Amino acid sequence: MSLARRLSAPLAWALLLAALMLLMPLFEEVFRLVAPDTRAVIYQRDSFASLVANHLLLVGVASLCAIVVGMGAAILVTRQWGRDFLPLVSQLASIGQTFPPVAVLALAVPVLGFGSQPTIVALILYGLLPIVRNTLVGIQGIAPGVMESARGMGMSGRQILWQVELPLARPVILAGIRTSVTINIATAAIGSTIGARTLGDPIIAGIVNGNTAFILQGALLIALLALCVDSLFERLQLR
Amino acid sequence: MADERQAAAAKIELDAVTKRFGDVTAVDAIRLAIPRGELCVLVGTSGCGKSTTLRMINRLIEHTAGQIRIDGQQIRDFDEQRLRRRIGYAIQSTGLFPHWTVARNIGLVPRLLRWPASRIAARVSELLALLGLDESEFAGKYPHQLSGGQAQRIGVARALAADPEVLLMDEPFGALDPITRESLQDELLRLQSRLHKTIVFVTHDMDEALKLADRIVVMDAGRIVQQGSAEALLQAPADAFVESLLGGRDRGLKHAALTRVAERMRPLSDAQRGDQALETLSVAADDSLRQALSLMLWHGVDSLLVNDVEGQMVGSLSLRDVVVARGANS
Ligand SMILES: Nc1ncnc2c1ncn2[C@@H]1O[C@H](COP(=O)(O)OP(=O)(O)O)[C@@H](O)[C@H]1O
Ligand SMILES: [Mg+2]
Repeated sequence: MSLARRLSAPLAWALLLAALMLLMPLFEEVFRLVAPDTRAVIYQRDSFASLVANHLLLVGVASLCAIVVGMGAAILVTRQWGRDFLPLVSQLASIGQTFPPVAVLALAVPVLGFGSQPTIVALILYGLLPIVRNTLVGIQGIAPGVMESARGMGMSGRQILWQVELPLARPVILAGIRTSVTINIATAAIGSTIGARTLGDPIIAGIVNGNTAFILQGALLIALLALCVDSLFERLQLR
Repeated sequence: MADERQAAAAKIELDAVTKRFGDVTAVDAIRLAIPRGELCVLVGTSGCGKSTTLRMINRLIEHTAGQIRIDGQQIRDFDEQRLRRRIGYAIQSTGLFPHWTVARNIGLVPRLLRWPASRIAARVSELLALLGLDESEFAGKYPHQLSGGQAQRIGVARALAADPEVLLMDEPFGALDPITRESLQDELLRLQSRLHKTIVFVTHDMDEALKLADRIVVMDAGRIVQQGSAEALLQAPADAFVESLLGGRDRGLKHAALTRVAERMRPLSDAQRGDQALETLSVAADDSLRQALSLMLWHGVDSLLVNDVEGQMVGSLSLRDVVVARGANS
């Protein structure tokens, strides 16, 4: 597949996102249909572009941390010497997932204050499980004969990790990262409740003021952002 | 002086080697000396400790007690990765890397040893040719594109890549269909007659052991029950267990399968050659007595003509020749 074709779907979503983000006022009449009684139909407190950028930044930083921590932990507990911690790590990761993100935020605020930092912490915790779980599954799913012959041929632990385990587990790990990032694009909006600037801002403003148009604008942009990133991962996995 | 001692010493020695997994004693104080160039087959029922014994030699499993020596040197004195790069290893599931091409798989150990790329490429070509696989067809293939027999050949090629003196094989042909298995066994014997590696070969199949082994080591419950040549085992199984492994009442046929027609036939004189009726059935001198016997049974005859590889009539074989070795009337 050529690069252009491979990127066509993500590119289409990105263009749609950019168009809506920059040209939202052009659709004023459309949004008036869902909120006929309000004065301001288009959310104006922040530019949509800066909200999208900040939203992406939060998700990006959190995902990067979740990838490093999650893959790192999964790799450590699949080494011979780290095997004792395997049950602990898989349990911790699933607890992270069962915790509602709002609760994580509420707990993080007293420690980290309001704003971006507690949001990032919550997103990291929330995004860990799919990455840890898929990295574990990917590595443990390698045929035992492959691992045995890798050792039997005299490869070092590091060579086995980089040349055998990670390449073979790659599709499964990528699927985990994809899930994690996509979930977090949606979850990040909750950060707006504790003062992080995200695409949740118009949604919350809409809820507070009873303005359905604001809610729709925030939700649409979040959905497009998620689709855009998701299709990018889909292409990455196909390689 | 040192050379002499090395020549006399076994290539691989196991000296009272024991392996315990918790309470389970998988291998129990085994003593075994395998001379250089010998094909030694460990045979026994499943769970008797064959694989454990094999994997202690390349330190995939560390032995609990005793000593294992290669060329007189304890394997514990080597760096384990360096040791393994000097020892070929082939297993039943092949363990080929699914994301690497055949050529890259074969070149694994040479690459670990940092051979220059040109030397690796040359070696890969050489090995593919040695195993009868066309380079242009196979070098770029991935393991999932290979048949079971081809994959196992590549596994053997990979084990031989860095020209190790010792080769460990764990039921390498166990998952193949009987016809492919037989052709790979023949190929291993052909390779061994050229390469003279010291091979430790694990199988649960006594017929395979009888066919391949210079020395058969019968194991049961972590101990060596008997060791010796195929002939020696067939002549005098140590106990009922070995006898049952040898097939009990099929023992005679197994022995016949090991003996070539050429060893029992009566050479024909030129005069006789003309006399022999053409309709008489014939076997090849290289065939086994078992094959000859089967022909006699099937066709209801009690004598066969014997041809050499060129199809020249060279002798005759009667039922009596099959049943009683000449000069040995015991
Ligand atoms: N890693 C291990 N942990 C515990 N027990 C083992 C392990 N490997 C082998 N065993 C035990 O050791 C015995 C011998 O196993 P193995 O050498 O694999 O037998 P074989 O290859 O002859 O079938 C068996 O009873 C098996 O259950
Ligand atoms: Mg075994």
